[in-house]
Amino acid sequence: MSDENPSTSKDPPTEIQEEEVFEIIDFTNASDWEKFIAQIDEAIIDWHLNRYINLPPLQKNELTSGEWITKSTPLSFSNVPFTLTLHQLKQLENEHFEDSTNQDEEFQLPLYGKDAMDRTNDFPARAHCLSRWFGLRCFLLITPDTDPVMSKSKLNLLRSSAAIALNNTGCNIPMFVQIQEFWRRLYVGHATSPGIMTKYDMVHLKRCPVDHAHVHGLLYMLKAKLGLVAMPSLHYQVASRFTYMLKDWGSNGRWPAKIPDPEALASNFNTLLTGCLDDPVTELHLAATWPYRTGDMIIDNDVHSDYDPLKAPRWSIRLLYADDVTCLLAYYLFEFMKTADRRETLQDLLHYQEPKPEQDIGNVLDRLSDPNTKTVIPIVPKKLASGISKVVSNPQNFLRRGAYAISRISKGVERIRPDVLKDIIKFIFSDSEESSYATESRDGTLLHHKLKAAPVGSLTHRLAICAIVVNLCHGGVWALAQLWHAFVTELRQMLDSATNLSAIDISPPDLRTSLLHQKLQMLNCCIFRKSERETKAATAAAQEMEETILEQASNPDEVLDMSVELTKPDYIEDEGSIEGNKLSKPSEVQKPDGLFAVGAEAVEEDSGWPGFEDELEIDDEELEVETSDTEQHENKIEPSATQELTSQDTNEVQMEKNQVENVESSPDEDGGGKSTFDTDEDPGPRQKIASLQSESDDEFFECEEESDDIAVPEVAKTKSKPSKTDTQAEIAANKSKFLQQEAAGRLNQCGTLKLLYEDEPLYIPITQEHAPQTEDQLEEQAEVFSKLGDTLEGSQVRAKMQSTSLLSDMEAFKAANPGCVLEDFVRWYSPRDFEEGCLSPRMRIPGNLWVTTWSSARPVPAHRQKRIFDDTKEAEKVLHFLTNLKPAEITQMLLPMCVQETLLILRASSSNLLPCLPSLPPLCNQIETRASQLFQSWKMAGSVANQFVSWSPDEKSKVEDVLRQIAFAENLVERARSLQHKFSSLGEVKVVNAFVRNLLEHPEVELDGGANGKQGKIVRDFFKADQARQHAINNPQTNNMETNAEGSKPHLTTPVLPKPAGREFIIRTMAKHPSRISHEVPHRLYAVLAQSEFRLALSVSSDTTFF
Amino acid sequence: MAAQRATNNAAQGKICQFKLVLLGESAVGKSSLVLRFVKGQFHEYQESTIGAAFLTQTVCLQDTTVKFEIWDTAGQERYHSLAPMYYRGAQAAIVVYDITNQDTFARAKTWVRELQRQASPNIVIALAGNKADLANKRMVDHEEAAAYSEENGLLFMETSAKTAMHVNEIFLAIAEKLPKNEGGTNRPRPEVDITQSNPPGGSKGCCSSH
Repeated sequence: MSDENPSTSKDPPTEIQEEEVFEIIDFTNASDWEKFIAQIDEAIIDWHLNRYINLPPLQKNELTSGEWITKSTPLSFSNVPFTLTLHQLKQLENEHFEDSTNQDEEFQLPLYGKDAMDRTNDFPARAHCLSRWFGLRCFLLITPDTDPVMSKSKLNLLRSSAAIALNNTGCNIPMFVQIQEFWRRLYVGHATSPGIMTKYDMVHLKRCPVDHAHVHGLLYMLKAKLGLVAMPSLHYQVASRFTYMLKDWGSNGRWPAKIPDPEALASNFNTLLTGCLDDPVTELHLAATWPYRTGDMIIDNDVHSDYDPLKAPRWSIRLLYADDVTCLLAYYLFEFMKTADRRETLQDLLHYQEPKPEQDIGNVLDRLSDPNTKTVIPIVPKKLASGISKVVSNPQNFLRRGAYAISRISKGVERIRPDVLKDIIKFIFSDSEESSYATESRDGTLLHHKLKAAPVGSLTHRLAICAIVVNLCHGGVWALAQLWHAFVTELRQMLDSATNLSAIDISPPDLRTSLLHQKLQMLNCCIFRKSERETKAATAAAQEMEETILEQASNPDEVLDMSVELTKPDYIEDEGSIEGNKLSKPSEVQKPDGLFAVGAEAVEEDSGWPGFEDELEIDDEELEVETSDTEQHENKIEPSATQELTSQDTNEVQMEKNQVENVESSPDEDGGGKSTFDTDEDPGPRQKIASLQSESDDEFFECEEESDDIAVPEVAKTKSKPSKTDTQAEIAANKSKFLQQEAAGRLNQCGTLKLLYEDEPLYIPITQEHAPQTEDQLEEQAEVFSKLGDTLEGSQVRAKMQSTSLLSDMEAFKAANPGCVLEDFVRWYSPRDFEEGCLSPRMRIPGNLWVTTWSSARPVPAHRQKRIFDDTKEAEKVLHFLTNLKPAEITQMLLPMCVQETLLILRASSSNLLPCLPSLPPLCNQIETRASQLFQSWKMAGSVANQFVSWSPDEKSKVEDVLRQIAFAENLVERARSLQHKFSSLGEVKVVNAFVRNLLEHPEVELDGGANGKQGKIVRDFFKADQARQHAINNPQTNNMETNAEGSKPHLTTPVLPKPAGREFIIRTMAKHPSRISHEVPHRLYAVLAQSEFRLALSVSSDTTFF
Repeated sequence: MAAQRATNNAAQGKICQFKLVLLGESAVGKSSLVLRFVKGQFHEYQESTIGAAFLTQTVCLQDTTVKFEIWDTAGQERYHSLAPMYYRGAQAAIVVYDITNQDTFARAKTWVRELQRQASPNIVIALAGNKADLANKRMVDHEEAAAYSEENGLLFMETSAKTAMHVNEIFLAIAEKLPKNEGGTNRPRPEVDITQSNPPGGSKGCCSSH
């Protein structure tokens, strides 16, 4: 049924027309009031309540334990919006609706009347207030949406509407209207059923009238209301419940028993500390209940009361929890999240500190490198330290003050003390000696892959922990900036000194982990390669130094030889690809290496060696015959050719030098002069040259585990007899060749394969390793590839781009297998492409990349090739990336590791708390799943490598969601711990746990044995101690009791329990109403008498058949 | 690498992006499968892949659009060490072997083992016995491969890039099996009881009368 009013107000010009239409459709709705009633009618019919509903009696505590469902619909009374809501216990739906057909034969109480008289669900622990006050399992409620219903006439109008609607539809569910201010929770209602009508009314006062402050007064009131003053109290059933509140648990019950030590908090970088700063269990409410007494049995008037709570048949307690108690894990995380909103750059923050001399980051770093600085345990700011003593001296507010003190930690300081920073950096970079991580029983096996974090105990993980601790305890975002700066500086030092990062494995970046972890892995790979190279270079340099000294004395031409070798960097720089080369130069320059000085003097002599060049050309020509590549003749046109030439050149020159050497140092050796070029029997010196060249030039790939390597030291030691180091095979191979290139860079034989056109075994060459990539680099590559498209040209370009590695392998293969052909290569490299003695058809496609690459490949062993993976450049990229992160981005990068750590800690707690908190593991799993989805889908790396993408608002809100869940889980843990502590004297752990679980899972728990049971005794003791404390405060003369209040017996006059915070009564009776010939109908008065509230909820029924 | 970046454009038009990697011995037809799936083409002699190729293709399921980002890797042993880079961030993998060659099936098994050990735990793995058109040269039994796949929880199909047999099907089957809701937004999530039955502040609800 549409309401015309909204549309008319919105659209005045069409008013008349619409009204006309409306009139035609539904002319029966004459007034607003009728329309309003019609809306209610409609809702009742929609919800299928327009019939007589009868259900089996309620189960015990069903009002609490059952599931309540609500349905609502908007109503409108001449444009004033209302909401009609149906509240019903779920069970109602499952049961079939009974249409009572025999209602006329015998008078029958309606469902609401039976429920109101039902004593099994008095004082439900959790239910809608109307259900609690009137004992209902199903009711309708009209609430105004905006302004409360204040006037009597409006109230009557609404109440009448409800009554008419119920009558119209034959619905026997009570309907209420909320009146007065909302906070007062005042309702009036009406219910009707065949033969009976019930009115619901309420009284709400601030103070309890003296006349009605006891059962007698209330009884009298009900009797008066019913007009049955003479009816004996025997016919009135009274259920009573007194509630007592405990807000101070005393020293025995207080949790945390010891607040986390701020100092420990600030100095613990291993893991995160747990615990709460305030008790999450704030109050205990004890309810003493007398479920059933008849009115005549009770003496409760203004002079005397026989209610003794210690003798109440039923004791139950409920606990109130604080959701906003600060728990440490959440505290760390939320504080950390604050920095994610910062806009400053690292420089902004560091710069801010510079003016203050003692905050100079430079000083910090100076000290860092000072090995004599003693290890200092990190600090607690002075402010805090004094705060603690104050806190401790005032045990009354120990907890709250303690929380305050901790919260002050980060506000007190704005930077990390240099010595502390030094320790932190030391810790982060220390070896992963701490076995506590590895042996920890936490199930963290794959968590870091799931969360895309980093392995526990790794450098990245430690960094994250330190960052989150530093952020909380050492000065927030400024401290974070400081830490990061020191961290990156340290990384730089590690790189410069070629020291591997100890807490990160040397393996290619693992794309399952955090981008930061990948970057650090990448850096470590770079450092590893660098250190390898430098070790080799150092060894070689040592030899060379030795030689130089020897040779300079004996051979003045030597200087010239050296100069040729050193010209190479110039050529390479021409080639233009060598950022990395430049970058690495400073460190090299610093090396005290005589070679460089000598070389520099002689550079201009470079061109003066035509003879060698001629020879070289011949050599090249001969080499290239097989591959019919004649480009070589146009020397120095193509950069690669130039480079190649130069290396050859140098090689030859060096050869000669060595010849001279050999002649000189080993007279018995055959010093064949130029014959070396033809049948070179001395690979040893050549290897050495290679090493030297690598040292003087970063461009070249440094092989690991070169088989030739082994020869190098030997040659160095026994220079006089280099030929001894040759393997038999090599000698044979070389001797049998006429004017053949020397085989180089062999790894081992490839099975028993022999070259197709040579009587030589097929050797697997030493090859360059593939370049590792981080996910952003891979992403960038994907981007480039997808831009190239899948056209033929595109895929050719793509393949060409990737052919570097193939070319390198082919060159190495050619070097290792003189006289080889492509077929030989394919037999090793892609055996399935060599079928029945020839290449597979796809390898024979004219112009395919394998063929073209093969033809352009020259025999160059891996160690003399251009590096595929330029570790110098890559390392710089990583450091550049890290240096340019903003603190907010740092936070985002580190967060997965932090969440991982908190989850691990929660998991560890959950296994301990399993008996009392079985819901924690599923909650942890839920957090894990959410965090996993979040971090997995979070694209930290943009499509441009070395760019970091901050999270979107959506992602941020999801992060906060995860953090809230963590906070909630932690709060649960602390609740459980607090309760375990409070009820630890129950006995066995098992018993305690069972009780705690009960408390956590139910809103209210009945104590076994009431006041006299074990549980009751603990509760009593808490109250007793509290009473004693209160007494001591109120009676200062006995002040000395305060010190040992818990242990001592309370003052004799002190009752165990305080005055009840509230008293509730339910008085019921079945009485004839409105007249003596009426049926007996149910009447119910609920009353709550509290310090600042007096509330009556009365339902009075009338027989509608007999007056 | 980007995991499921599910974006809810409209209520139904959900687009999920998944990384898929092809693994297997060289010359079993990985590139041909991709070429068939992405472009509907087939070359009798497909050039041997160098490094890795990257292609994308979108398929539509009932209510979701699945975009595959396909990394087609080189099969040569030499490139084995590159594979983790591609499969670690992948949500799906197709391991390909050549039904006319028993060795390639053995190699496929090693790939599956490696994936199970090293890749993301919920990666969807499909096994494709390619070159099914060369049935007369068959060396790997369909039953054997099917049983193996069953044991290891793999999707399995015999395919032929040449005749297009089961090529789209295997990609579709993967798309079906991939978890579409992960990373999505409006999924009703399983709640733990305690959050429901004990909502924050719930104990202070309107039922309290004092």
